[in-house]
Amino acid sequence: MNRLAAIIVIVVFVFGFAPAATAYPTMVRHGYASCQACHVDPGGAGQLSAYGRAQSELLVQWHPGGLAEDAAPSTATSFLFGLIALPEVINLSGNVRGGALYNTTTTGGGAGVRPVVMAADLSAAVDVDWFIANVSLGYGARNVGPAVVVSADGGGDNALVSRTHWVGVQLADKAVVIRAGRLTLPFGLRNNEHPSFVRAVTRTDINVDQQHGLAVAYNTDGWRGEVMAIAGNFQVRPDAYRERGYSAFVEWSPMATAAVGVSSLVTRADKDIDVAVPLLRQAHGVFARVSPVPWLALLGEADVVANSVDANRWGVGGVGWLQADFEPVQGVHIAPAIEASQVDATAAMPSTGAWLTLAWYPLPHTELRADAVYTSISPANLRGSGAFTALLQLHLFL
Amino acid sequence: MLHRTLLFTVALSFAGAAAAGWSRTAATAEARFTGTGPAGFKIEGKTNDVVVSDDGTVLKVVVGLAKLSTGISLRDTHMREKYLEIEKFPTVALTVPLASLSIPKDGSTGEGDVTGLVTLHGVTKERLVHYKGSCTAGVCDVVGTLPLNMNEHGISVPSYLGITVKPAITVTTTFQVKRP
Repeated sequence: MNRLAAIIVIVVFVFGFAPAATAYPTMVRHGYASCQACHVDPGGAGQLSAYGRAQSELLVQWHPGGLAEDAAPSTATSFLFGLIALPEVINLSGNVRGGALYNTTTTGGGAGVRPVVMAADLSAAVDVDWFIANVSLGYGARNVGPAVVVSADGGGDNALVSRTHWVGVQLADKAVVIRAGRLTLPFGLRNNEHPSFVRAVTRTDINVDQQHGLAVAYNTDGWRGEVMAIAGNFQVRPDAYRERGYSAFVEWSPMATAAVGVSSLVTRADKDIDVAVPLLRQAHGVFARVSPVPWLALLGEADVVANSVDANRWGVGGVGWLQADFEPVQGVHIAPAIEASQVDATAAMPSTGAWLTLAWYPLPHTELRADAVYTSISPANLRGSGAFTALLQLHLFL
Repeated sequence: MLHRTLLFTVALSFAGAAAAGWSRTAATAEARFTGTGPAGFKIEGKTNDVVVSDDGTVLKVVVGLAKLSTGISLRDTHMREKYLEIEKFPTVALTVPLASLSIPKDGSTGEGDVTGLVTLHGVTKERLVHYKGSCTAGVCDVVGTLPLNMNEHGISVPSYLGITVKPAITVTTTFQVKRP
């Protein structure tokens, strides 16, 4: 299992660092413990609803001098800045992220700056009474293998990708949503930092780790949750690579600015996509979102993970993530985070990481973000024991 | 606006007193409402503008709505101006007969339900209030909970960009009073 942990960490940090996702679990600071009002996905993340677009301008965007008390969302929050009026039941959006990436290892390997296109997706949703559907299609430049629909050479680069596509029914005033299709796995925090250990090791990120299956989501006052029967990622072939199992979370929000939840995931594949052997994966954990004061939101997650290539021998370990998101003025975020991973309890040292993220939302539909990440990988390997990554990115959503 | 959210609030209840002259101490009081919408949508608003008085017959709790805040300024503006119409209806008031209250003795706690009159948005309705009181050395901490319905008080149900707030809300008021 040491090898598995090292493979995941190295692949993600040295080659795959490219946050392409969009989720704001820190919106709990505004009393939005539930995500469904602002996102098409009842579990949060991804395409915004019309309500979410309005909040992006009122609560997320930087407003020098403050927002006027009677300010209303502008038409610029709409699709294509409001240039095209869409029927209320149709929701279109675009999501483009690009920038420059620098990374290196302690042995100097991989040093250099290169341009990156992290996401170039179009999303569409239809929401008519009880019926709801969503699809995203886009261009994936690098390392998007699990989300590939078709690529030039059959690999994970330069590909047409679809991160999500699903249909669903909404019941009980949208408190219950039953969906089938390619869905983000319901597990833990839906944080943007998809290379973080908690997302990479559990394979539950919102970038490319979605899988096909059937899910039931429940959102009501103070409680939300989702359970998904995983049928496998049908965008990977052959079938032996597809994981079957379940993923689920339940989150309780005792107050508008705090929520705590538990997650559980069990999957099995005949041939694991990373280590190419039969693998049974388990992950079970807790997570929390708390905003004690409006300028600070704390996110934390801790998961126990257990992997087995043989039902009698388990590699048991854990991963953790703790992030503090400071927002000294609206639209400006300073977010340090620390993380640790020890997938095999027999490893001498855990892998650890430290993040510093600066994010600025200067204009409608616009985010400028800089990440600096140092990761110490255990056990040491041919690429060295640590990696430093710096990423500067511009994110535009239409 | 933004969500036109909600609403208002109210005042509420208490526990009480039996003789004239109950009055608030310097401890901070709070009136808080909780409203919900579809799929776990939730709004909380609060204010510290709570006045408690008694005339020997009834206990009156009056909450000023001008400083009622949900934490989002535009939502607050719509709440106050469009839904609560605070220029016409600046307060919400609850009156409860003192004789109907069960007042804990010093060193003890008590709770109960009492019917009071709630005046919100210019409409007065009878409402059942649940109250809890805890008294020590002549000072009582009081928590009152009051379910309300916006429709019954002539308040439009806020709806914005597909999010419609449910008309039923809950108001909780906490304050501290001293015995006469």
